Amino acid sequence: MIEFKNIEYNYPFQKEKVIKNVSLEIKAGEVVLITGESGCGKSTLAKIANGLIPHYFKGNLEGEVKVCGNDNSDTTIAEISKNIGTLFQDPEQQFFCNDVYSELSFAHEVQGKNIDKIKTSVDKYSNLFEIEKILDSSIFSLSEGEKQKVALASILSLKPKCLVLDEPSANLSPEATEQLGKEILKLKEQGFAIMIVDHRLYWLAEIADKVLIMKDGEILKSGGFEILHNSQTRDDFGLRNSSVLVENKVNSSFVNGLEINNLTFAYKNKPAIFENYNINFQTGKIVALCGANGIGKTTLSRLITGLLSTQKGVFKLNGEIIKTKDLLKKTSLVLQNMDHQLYARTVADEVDGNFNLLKQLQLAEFAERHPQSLSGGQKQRLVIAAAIAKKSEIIILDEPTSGLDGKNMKIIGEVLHKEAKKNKIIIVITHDLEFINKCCDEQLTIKKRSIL
Amino acid sequence: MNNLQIKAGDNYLASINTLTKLFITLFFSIFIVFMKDEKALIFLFVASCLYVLPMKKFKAMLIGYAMILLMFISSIGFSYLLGLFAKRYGLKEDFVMLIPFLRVGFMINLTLALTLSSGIRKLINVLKTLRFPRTIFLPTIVIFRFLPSFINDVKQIHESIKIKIGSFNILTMISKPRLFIRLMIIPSVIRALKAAEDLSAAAELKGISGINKITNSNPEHWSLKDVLAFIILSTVVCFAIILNRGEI
Repeated sequence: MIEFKNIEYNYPFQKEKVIKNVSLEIKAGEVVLITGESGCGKSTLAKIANGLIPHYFKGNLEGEVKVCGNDNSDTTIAEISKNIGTLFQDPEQQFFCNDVYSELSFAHEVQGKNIDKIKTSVDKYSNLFEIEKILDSSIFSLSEGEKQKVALASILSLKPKCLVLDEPSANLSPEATEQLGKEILKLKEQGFAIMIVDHRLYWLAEIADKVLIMKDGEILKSGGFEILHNSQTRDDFGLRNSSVLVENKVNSSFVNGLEINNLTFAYKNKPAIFENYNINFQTGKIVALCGANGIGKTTLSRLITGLLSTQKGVFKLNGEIIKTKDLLKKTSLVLQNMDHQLYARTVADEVDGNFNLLKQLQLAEFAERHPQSLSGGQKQRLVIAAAIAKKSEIIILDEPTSGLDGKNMKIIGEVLHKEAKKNKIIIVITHDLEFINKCCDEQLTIKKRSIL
Repeated sequence: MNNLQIKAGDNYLASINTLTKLFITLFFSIFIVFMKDEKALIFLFVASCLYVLPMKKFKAMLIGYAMILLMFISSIGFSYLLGLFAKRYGLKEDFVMLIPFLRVGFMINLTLALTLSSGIRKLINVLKTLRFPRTIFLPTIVIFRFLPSFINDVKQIHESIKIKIGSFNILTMISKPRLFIRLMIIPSVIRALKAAEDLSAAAELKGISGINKITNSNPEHWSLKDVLAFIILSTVVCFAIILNRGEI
């Protein structure tokens, strides 16, 4: 169904090939996992499969790509899209409408389908992905996990024959990832050809039929999922673990740090997210803040930072009451979208010339470059470095490892541990089980009526 | 985070037919070119403010006006500098310099009203009904869709700046223009470029370039509000023409 023959590609105005001699075949009812270090060319392969390369992104593409027997070079993107659905790494990239209902119905309308069929399809797929309650919501108000569900529902409702999923689990909770895995298995049984590009491997153990490991634009190793169980292979290619145990972190009794009492908050005209919650974050520890998608983790981080004001609640830092307006001075928050957070002329300026920090995060060689010229993984490390450079007492990181390979995840974990040892409070909003196991000391889980 | 889109029932603008709003925007985008009197332009600007105000998108409006103000101040500065070398290019005593900025402000108001009070599907349906050629239809759709994304990006950039340096308001923008350009303008431009690219790619993957027939699952109807809108439009046009001719 998806066939690549001797594919080579370089982006416009760049001499170096980002894809080198790649041949692969994904048959009906087959799931192929493509993994490798950040920047190895995985996402480029996804863009070649769905026709964005060469129809939208130009450059020099050599070789032959066929989707459902049709040569991509002779087919328009609109036609290719009828056979292949794509889930982008950042789901917001693929939304064209402003509200969820419109997003689910839009592509059907564009195809001129009957109104009743469109309504039935929206109902079916919103039920399947449990997004019925957010059908009227603006896409800008959704959590990252909700966005991913909407994007998937939108793609699958078009009933393509092939799927390209670029980091589909990056923003999903472990429960939602498990659910996604079950859905993929069903699609596989229905005969879909599925290409998955991902760093997180554990959830694909029972799903992937074939694994392709890439480095510098080439497929250097391939085989069944068992090749990922070899630790040497994982180390060689900077991969994550092939299995993850769900560990229950034991929280130490609270001595000193950030104490939040009777926290109550609701967005305007919306039901309360928090009602009289009591939460403590211990100094010197890395605390993982977990919970289902859309439960309020990012909202809590905004409250702690002082970007949102509580309706009720008292914040105490090391025993002293702290006002909302002062929280901003004492907190650093790393948001998920890196482009919004980089303003300096050079990478070095972004961290106030702290070369030691750049070295720790393996960014020293880019010190004189403009921050916006870095790759996604490099930007992710730089915004963390900038937050640390602010020397705040509280550092909050919102999904810092989504889309990061094993090597970079380890680097970030080490740097955060060093910071925690300086008596700082490190709060990591994450669904990344591997990161929680390896790097976090404690874990808090937000539930509907409490925090455990 | 607040919703950017206004829903029908939230205010009168959302319940006016999208075709009416599109007509108002297109008509005035041509009409404004012929308005040269500052009184007529001030009147049109105030009228457009009244048109867009009930949407309660005050921040989006303020950001737009702040940008115009910044451009206006820069133009005064440069005119002053030019005037030091060649008097005839220097600062003018009348309101001539204000005219292009009033036009831009007026169009910002109309565009905000159209894009934020009409869903993208409605706009596509209207443009398709009007049988615009594909070369106009596609970029127009992407531009309409781009605006809410861009406003959302500006909000997030502003939030990131607050996290990094604390308070950052309009006063800071005016008193420290260099800092404003570095912190606000550069990331906004970069995000705008990326958003435009992402939206175009999303549009392609949704099959927009291959549209032949589009289903209108939420057809709009004409109402008394549209008649009222046309009456107000005619009144505003007549009054602006009278002001422009200097008859008042």
